[in-house]
Amino acid sequence: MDRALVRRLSNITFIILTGIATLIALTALVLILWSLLSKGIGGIDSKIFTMTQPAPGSEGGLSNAIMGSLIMCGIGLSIAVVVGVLAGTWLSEYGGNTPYGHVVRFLNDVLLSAPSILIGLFVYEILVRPFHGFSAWAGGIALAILAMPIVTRTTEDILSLQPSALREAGMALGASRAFVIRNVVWKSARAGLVTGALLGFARISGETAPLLFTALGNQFFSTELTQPMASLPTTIFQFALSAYDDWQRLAWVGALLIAVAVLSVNIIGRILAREARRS
Amino acid sequence: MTDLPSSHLSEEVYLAFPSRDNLAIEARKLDFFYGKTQALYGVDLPVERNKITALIGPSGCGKSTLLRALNQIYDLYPKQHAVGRILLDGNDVLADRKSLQRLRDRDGSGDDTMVRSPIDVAGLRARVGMVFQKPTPFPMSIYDNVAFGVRLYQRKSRAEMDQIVERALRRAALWDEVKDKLHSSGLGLSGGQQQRLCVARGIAVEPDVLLLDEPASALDPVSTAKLEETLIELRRDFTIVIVTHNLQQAARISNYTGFMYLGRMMEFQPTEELFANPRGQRTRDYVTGRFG
Repeated sequence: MDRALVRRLSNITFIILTGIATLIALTALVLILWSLLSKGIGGIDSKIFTMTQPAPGSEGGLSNAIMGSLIMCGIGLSIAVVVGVLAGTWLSEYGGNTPYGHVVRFLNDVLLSAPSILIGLFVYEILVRPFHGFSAWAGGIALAILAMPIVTRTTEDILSLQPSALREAGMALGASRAFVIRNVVWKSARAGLVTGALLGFARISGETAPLLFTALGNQFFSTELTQPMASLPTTIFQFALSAYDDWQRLAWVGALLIAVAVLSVNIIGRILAREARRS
Repeated sequence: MTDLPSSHLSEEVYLAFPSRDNLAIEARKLDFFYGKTQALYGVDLPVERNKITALIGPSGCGKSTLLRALNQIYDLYPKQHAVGRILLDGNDVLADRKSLQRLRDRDGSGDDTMVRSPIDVAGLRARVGMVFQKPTPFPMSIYDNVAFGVRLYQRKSRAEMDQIVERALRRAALWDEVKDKLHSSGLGLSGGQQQRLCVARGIAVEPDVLLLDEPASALDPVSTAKLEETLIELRRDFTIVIVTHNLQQAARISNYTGFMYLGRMMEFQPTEELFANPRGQRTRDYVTGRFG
């Protein structure tokens, strides 16, 4: 066969193959979103946000799970942002090129891909067993450990993108290094730092495994941090496995709520990241 | 950088220094190292008060390195160090214990009479301001940019600070363009305005010396002309050292010019002399555009 023809055919084959692969990936995403929407949206009403989870066959909502998720994600994210931003700053500004810095970065990357159930077990061992009880604190801390490496990583990346002339200009005025980092470098990287926090939130908001071992779940509305607490993922887990139709409907609604939250947070994060690159 | 034997170059060295009585800052026999790579070889640089001193030379000759040594900004990077003396009003600012040890290792002997107590590098930098090649406005308002350095050292009332900011912006010839938007972001200004903002920020702390590292290389001709006018005005109150690739710029605004080559100060003369009557062959080739 003619060489040019072979080339053209292999080119076309390759394009078609990549196209099909893309289509498969997109189809999966669209199907997931579609089933979430079609099965979840009908169940959304004000009761979802005002009433706690019902006994099978009676009226109810997800308010205890929504509140629990907000509280524990709040705890997790607060801890993760403080620790992650400081650790990322250290990696980018101070110790990143020392042998110790390389070890820290490597361990952080390992933590980044650690299975979440392991982290749940770890927190179970250090916070649940010794205190003889599941608690919202333990759940929040498990989520913090999950989000921390993400925030650390994005912080380091975004800070090392800031021009060194900016730091030099600050120091050339006689400011200390720490002062320049806090008042100039962080300010200049603000949008990127927020993006890191949002990515961390997106990661932990749907986590189930670490919460099963730590916060357990709670069928009542509770804001008591030392007691077991409900959360959307654990409630979905429980309801989806049940035999009751109304519980299964609520599980779909919960799944839709998480998906919408994660999707909007991701979109906001992307917009902010683009703004950050532009300025 | 190739390391030529110094005897090969020394025949050409011609230094016509101003008298030492009226120097704002001076480098003496300064070596500089990036890790193990030596970038400056025994450089002398006298900077006369209230004059503009220009540093010219081909890329990689050490002009910027010399400038960055004068305010020790290289301190940020642990692998860089200088050996020699840098005198600010006659005081050796390089005289911390480690540097003196290095000086003794190099020269065999040294006097410890000038040992400085643990370095006050921040204090030095406050007296030796710096403006960089690319404009570096901080991500804050124009007003806060100018006030940034002042706030590090002094607590001022609102009214006093307003005055300081206005004065600095006026001297940097930026006041008329920004007086109505002092509280909008410094990042919104044009490149030339940003660079003059950086000049204003630098002079707001009233330094003795202002170092400029190719400040006009990212600017268009109109902005460049404006910046040059500003510098000539500033000469009355400040001492200026400017690194430039633009020979006409050096000729237009400076009083003294140093020609550097391969990490050495090859020729230092009053600017008119250096351009009209260069002594060294290399200087002549460079200023007539035969290489560079």
